[in-house]
Amino acid sequence: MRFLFLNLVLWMSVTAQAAPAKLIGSSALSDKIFSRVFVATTPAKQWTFLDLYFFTYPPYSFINQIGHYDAASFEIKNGDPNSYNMILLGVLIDNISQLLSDSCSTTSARLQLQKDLQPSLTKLCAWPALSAIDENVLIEFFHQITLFDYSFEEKQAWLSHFQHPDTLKKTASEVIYEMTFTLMMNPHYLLKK
Amino acid sequence: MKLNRRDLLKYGLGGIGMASLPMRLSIANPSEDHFLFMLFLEGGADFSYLFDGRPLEMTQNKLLANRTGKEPQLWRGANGTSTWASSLTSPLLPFKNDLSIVNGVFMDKTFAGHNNMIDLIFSGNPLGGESFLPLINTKSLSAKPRPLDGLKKNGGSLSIDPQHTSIIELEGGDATELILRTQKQPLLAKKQEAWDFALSRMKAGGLLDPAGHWSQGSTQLFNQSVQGQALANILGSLDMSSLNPDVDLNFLDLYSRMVQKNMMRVALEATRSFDFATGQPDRFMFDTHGIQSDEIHVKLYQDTVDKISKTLEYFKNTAYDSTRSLLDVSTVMVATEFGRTMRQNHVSFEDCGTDHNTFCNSFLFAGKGIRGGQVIGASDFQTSQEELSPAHLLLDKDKLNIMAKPFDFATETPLEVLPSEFIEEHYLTSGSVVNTLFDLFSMPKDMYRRKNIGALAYPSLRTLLK
Repeated sequence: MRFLFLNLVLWMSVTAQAAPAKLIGSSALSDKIFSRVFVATTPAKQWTFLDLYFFTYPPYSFINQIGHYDAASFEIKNGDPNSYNMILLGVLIDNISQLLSDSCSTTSARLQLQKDLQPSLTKLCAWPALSAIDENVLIEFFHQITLFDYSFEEKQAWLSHFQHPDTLKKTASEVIYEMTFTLMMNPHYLLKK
Repeated sequence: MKLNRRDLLKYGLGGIGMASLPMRLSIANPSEDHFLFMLFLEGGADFSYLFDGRPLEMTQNKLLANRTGKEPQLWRGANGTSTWASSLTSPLLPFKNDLSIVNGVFMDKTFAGHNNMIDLIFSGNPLGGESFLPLINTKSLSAKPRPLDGLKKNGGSLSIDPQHTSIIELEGGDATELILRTQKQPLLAKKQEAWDFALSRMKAGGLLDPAGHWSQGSTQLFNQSVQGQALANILGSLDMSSLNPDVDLNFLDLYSRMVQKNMMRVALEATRSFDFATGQPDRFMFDTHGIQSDEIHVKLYQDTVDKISKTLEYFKNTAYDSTRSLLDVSTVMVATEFGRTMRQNHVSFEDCGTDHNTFCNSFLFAGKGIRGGQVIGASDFQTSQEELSPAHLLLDKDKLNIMAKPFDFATETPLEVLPSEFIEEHYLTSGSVVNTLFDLFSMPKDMYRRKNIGALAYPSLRTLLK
């Protein structure tokens, strides 16, 4: 009996290994963005807010292409990363990164940031001043976007990348864009665990 | 030169997307230029209005609710088999040598639903499964995969996308929007360093536990991001300025430009007819259960013939390259999920529409690899006096349907016999039709449709192939 049980466990682990992790899907992604970065608007307005009206507005159907939960089959459809949905995610994350990087120089009524994100972003806007490149500022921004979802190694790799002297040559806008983009275009952010 | 960490990123991972672009664009082997364009008449089209016509006496004897009011013409296949072509098909006469007709395709005797039969065609199982369309790109042994599996127009309701997760499809409108977006918002310009670092983290994620679920996902994320960058570059380079404003030709223009750029292998267009009652396009205009005026009914099929004719004309007259037309490199297929009954039971003939008939279906083929001018297979109930087989009457005691005739797979001709029992293996089925496509696109043999695991694959139609 124990032998059978062990075999079953082994079989299940082998089976589990066979399937690569899928994308978290549009709904979970929306939840992350609108709880960590922007203040939530109504679900219908969220994608419009990100200048991605075409994600949901008829006759377009992009929203379903970045992974969506299908109640009939209890699974995420279109959840395998493919070249098409990676373009869509690229466009989405590019837009978000651009909105954050623009926030240093422009005030937009449309841009309603999460109140916990605003202080670290304000500090980063002073880049490359010492107050901005402080590791605690980077960590604060990292945690606000990732909400501790990432591994320690991932955090170290990210910090190390942005603490490199070359980064000091960049403008605040460029750095905020890159920081946001790299945190979101990341398997820890996009894949179902 | 000493390379620092950034240089390694720049020259190692960096530019992977750009590096893959020439690879993608370099698919120039002419023998690999083979694409599939499928026009799907969604709702179940009545081929008595097209290439499986019936004499007017069938209508006069109140057996067949066909509203054309004209005798069909004999359409002789170059292979010796003939069929009756409805008078509405005359605009397709100029394409007679290009077009081959497959009639008398038995679909299923158990299921009769739209999605069941759509699933049967696309996945081989009436209860659903993986569509073969994207697999033509990913599994074909004769060509390298393109970055995009396919382009689709109006196919959202077809069950080919929700059944599984690996299809990349662009609705016609979406494609245009996405292309314009990639042109307005280049994903790479000035942002390569951010992409490179993101890619390096995806790659690192894949190395953490290579056999593990999450690491495999991370590797897939990396590979597809690289592909996505290449695709975005090609999309961004498409000339969208002179797309034809005509809604049909617009999609064909897009198809033409995308295959010319070697972006994809397959396109699917589901027909949409205009519903006069609602003023909206209707996916089920072919699904004529209720009564409709004769004019609307006839117009539906006139429009369908015009659509097929316009499509073939476009393929013939559009250059793919300096020596070949689009039709030289594309196999064009017209399909529908099932045929229609001749009339409805328990409804007066004058008021009746038609129901689903899964005992007989038809397909049309033209283009690359197709021997044109053939008529393959046939259906029974050709006249009101025809004696029907016991096999037919077992499945259709009220004589509402036409049914596929038994088929001799050795000679690929319909058999003039009246079998006493129904044995599916004696009939031409959608499995054979799809396996013929698989032959054309050099698909792996283990993918061929078969009735059961371990059974022989349904025979391909050699007559249809050059």
